Parts: sequence; structure tokens; C-alpha cells
Amino acid sequence: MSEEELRREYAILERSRRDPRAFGELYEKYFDRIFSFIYRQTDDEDVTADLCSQTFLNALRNIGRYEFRGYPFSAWLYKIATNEVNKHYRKQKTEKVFSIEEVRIRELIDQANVEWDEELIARLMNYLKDLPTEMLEVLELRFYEDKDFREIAFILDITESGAKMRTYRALDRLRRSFNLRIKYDG
Amino acid sequence: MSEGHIARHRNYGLLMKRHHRDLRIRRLAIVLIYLLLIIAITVLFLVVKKEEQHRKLQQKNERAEVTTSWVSDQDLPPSQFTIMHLS
Repeated sequence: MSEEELRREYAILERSRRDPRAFGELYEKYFDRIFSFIYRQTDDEDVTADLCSQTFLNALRNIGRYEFRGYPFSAWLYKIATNEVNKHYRKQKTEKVFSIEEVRIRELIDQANVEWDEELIARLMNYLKDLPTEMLEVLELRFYEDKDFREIAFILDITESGAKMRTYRALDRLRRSFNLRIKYDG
Repeated sequence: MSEGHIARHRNYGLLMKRHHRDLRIRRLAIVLIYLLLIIAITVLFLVVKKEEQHRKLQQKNERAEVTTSWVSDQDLPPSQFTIMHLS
């Protein structure tokens, strides 16, 4: 995201503090991304709709407290969404799920510049099912949401080196099991 | 999930409605908290005032307790004494 875009977003945020209707522009811009992000972690359309709505409501409610720390506004939304998803699972007392779409797997394989076939995708999907949640979280943010490590650290409330370490470990496992060499820093 | 599916859930008007309802509830809660606080302070003030009045009355009663004794010509102890409560 360019500096110009960051400034434009911040101007909208400033306006939203005085008039919540101005927030609509950011809502329209980020709704789909946040919805998909939550959906991948719940695999339930109705639950996702509720959590997504709650995410934007929380953002709107706390917009006065938002401080610009060099991250795009979307990072703050992802952070709220992550908290909402975690809260949902704590309340439900169930295991967190990750829905992995085949298209996303293909994108991941494409980054490794490897020829893919259906069998490889099926094997990889099975493999990812067994990866710990914390690794799937960073992989998702790094490769599907295209976030840098600073943003990942902010969203997941971990350190930047922690985010790098988790990504590196996840990719190292893929390299050892499937000989997929994906650059961990993109 | 397709964009059309997601678009079905996108409704900023509804979000604004929820936001305004939340604001109303929050304002109402603040008013209620202040009201309860004022009531609590008033009750406390009245209780303290009543207690003070009660204590003052008690002190007055204690001061009003007068013991009268007679000393007879024979230097005998008083044959009777009276306690008078003055109100």
C-alpha cells in the first residue's frame, strides 16, 4: 500500500470520527476481504456474517481510539476479526477450523514454481490439515492475504521475529515433505 | 465463496442502525449509572445525617440526666434520689 493510499485512508478515518457515515467507504473496500478471512476460519456462512458484522461494528465503535502506527487500516480490521474469531471459538469451546480452498493451494504451489497435478494438491491438502493452527494462521496471512511480517505480528499480537519464525518453520516442513521451495519472505 | 454470496451479507445501512442502537444503549447506561450514583450518594448522606441527629439526641439525653441528692442535717446519705429526664 502506497503512502498516498495510507494518507487517504487516514483522512477517511478522521472524517469517520466526526461522522460515522464516512466509514462506509472503508466498509465497502474491506468487507469482502474480511468476510473471506473469517469464513476460512469458521467454514460457516451465518457465523461468518455475524462475526464480520461485529468486526466492523467494533471498528466503528472504537474508531476514536485508533492510532496510526504505520500499518494500513486493514491490519487493524484483521486484528479485530482475529479477536472476534478467537472469542467465538472460546465461547463455543470447539477446535478452530481452517477451510483450505484448492485454488489457494494452487497459488501456493505456483509460488514455488513447481508443476502441479491433482494428486499433489490432494496430498498437500491432507498435509495442511495436520499443520498446527498457529502455522496455518501465518501462512494464510503471508501468502493468501499478502501481509508483511510487521503486519502479521501486529494482527496476531506476536513479535515480528516470531511471525518470521513460524512462517519459516511451516515452509520448511513443506520443503522437507514435498520438496516445495517457497521463498518465505515472498 | 463467490463474490455474490459475500455481497448478500454486505449491508452498511444495517451496520449503521446497529451502531446507533449501541450508542443509544451506551448513553442510557451512562445516564443510569450516574442516576444510581446520585441515589447512592443521597441515601448515604441521609443515613449519615440521621445517624448524626440520633447521636446528638443521645448526647442531649445524657447531659439532661440530673441526679439530685439531699443531705440531711444528720449527715446521713440521701434517702432518695431522683433522675429527671428532660426532653
